[in-house]
Amino acid sequence: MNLRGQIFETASARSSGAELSLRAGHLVLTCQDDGEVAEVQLTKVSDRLAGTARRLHLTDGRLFVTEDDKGADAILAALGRPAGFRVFILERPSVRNLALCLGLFVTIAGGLYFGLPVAADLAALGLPDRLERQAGGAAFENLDSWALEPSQLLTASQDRVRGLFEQTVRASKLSFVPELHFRASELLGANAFAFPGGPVVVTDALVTLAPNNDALVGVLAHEIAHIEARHGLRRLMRAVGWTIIVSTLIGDSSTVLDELVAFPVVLITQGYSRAFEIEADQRALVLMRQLDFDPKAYEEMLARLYAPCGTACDEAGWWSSHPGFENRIEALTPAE
Amino acid sequence: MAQQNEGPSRIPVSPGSGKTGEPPALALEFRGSASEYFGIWLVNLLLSLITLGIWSAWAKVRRIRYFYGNTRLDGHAFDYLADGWMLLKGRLIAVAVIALYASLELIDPFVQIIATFFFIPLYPFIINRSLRFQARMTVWRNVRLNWQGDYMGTFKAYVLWPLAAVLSVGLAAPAAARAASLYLTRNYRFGTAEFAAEASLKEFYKAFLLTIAYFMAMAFMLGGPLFGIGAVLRAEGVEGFGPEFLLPIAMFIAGATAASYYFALTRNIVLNGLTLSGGHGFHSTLPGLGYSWITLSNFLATILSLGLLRPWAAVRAWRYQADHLAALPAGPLDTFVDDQSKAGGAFGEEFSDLEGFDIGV
Repeated sequence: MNLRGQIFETASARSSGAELSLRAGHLVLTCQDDGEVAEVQLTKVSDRLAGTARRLHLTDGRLFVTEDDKGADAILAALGRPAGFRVFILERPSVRNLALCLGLFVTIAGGLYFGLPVAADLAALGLPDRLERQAGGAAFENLDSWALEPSQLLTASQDRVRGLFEQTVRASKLSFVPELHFRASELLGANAFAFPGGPVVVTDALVTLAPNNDALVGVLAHEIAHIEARHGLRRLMRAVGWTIIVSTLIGDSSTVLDELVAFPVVLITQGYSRAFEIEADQRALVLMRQLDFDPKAYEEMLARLYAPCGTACDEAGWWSSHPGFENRIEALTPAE
Repeated sequence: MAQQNEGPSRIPVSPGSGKTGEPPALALEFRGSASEYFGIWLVNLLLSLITLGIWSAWAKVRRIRYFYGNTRLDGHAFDYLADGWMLLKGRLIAVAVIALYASLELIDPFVQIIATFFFIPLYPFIINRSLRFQARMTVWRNVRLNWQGDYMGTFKAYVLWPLAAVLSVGLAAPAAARAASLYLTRNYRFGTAEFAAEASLKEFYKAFLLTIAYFMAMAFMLGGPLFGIGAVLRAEGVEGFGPEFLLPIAMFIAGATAASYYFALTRNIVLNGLTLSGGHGFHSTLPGLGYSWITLSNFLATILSLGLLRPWAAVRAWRYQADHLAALPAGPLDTFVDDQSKAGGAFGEEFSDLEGFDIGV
């Protein structure tokens, strides 16, 4: 059993032809230059990898380099050394390996498509409520500092909305009453939004736009549904999960251009966002019925909210965070 | 596997340099193939997913070893010496630090801002550790690279100079790029042998101006048609592909290809001005247009194939770079001696990797 290669002296770039061979269970090095024959022992041996030379480090500090992978494996096996990672068998380009890998790939991709949301949701639900409320509070303070102004609403109408809000919270599964803030905002227009674990923000324009209490309860119930189902945190955890996976996928990126490949993460999470909106719509209707408000008023309120956008907002694009008007009405109809 | 040991390939630098006494140039030779790397890439991907990312440390080793190990100079291959455990350890610490930093925002955004100020002085330290680790793990002919930059030098090259470039609205950018690459290359060692680097400021500014012209041309060539397509789609009632969506994409592609054009030009300037002690030189002829085309077409191929052509693209880009680099030895190449200084841990390297720093040549 002979292994041809080159021997490098310790820490030197000078090499000469040499041979490793097994004689009666002992590893023997024969150098071509000076005819040295000596028994040697191995320390570290590099793993097998297509096209790369194997590096066999000797205990005396010298390095033996060979291109003969099979010969090196045979000598290592005869010496009873652990074979190291045998991944190269799977890496070899062959039809069998390709089929095997693609099969595995489809299985894993399918598993991720269905499994990742479940796993991310579990992680989100496992986080303590306190942390979620702190995150939501911090995000609110951030937005408040640059996009929101103090409310101009009369105290009477603020109290009316607050009363409806508390009534709706009591009907929901929430064990606490989230903070409710009234704000004016030119940037956001008629709008209401919920941060993870509360607070809920309602803009003046929204309160003015609502024709009656029924419509207001609909919007408030929608936001409470987001908090109830922890949509904000779940969306965040799902986005984190996909970011990890996509960055593993393109881990060998080297240029700025490759950053765009992370685009799919945005698309996937916007899809989740739209699904959560529909979920919150449907939950809002349930809460409204429970409290004896007219569910039809919620549809009318949605129509008012979407009106400035016109027909362009009837259908959602694949990058938008909210479903289109018609998507939402369609999703609400069978629930009635 | 074709592994016959061919002799080192010797090519003349230019038609005129074949006369006696001139040392022949040694071309860098890459023997990897897309099909071979596809297997490695796919297995890396699968194992990383199955192990929830833990394999990615070993995946990185196998990826770098494949590219280094299949790149030969004078018949000897390069190699990457890190093992997965080293990288995993560094990566875990880096992930812990980043997670800690991110969680500060939950406690109080103000605390996070303060923490950021504490982080900035740490960056040169992290960059130094990263460059040193990368260098010590790179070996050719049993001799490893080393990197010996110090804290203040790195602070100047990677914090102060970029700051100057920003404050001067980009006017000092070429000077900053030159300072950083000279600093970087001068602090490399091949074993005990030192590098000397020269690069003229004029050439850096020339590359910069050429890049601006390149960007404008690309922006015009891509932006015009895409804007038109967007307007037509809008008129046809197709939503979501309007000019305001397509135009930023055109600008992004123009910017990114311009960046690789600049990369190619400056790489040539730096490598052609580099000498290793003993008078060994380098000859880099990476064409700017060619390389930016490789980058752009690789990107399109990767997107259109949903990532499946990524390995082909990576091999293609590496081969293109290798094909345009040669060494100009001034004497025998077997006289180098390694020094025994330690590599340090992989924390800096993994932190830079996760944070997306892109340093090195």
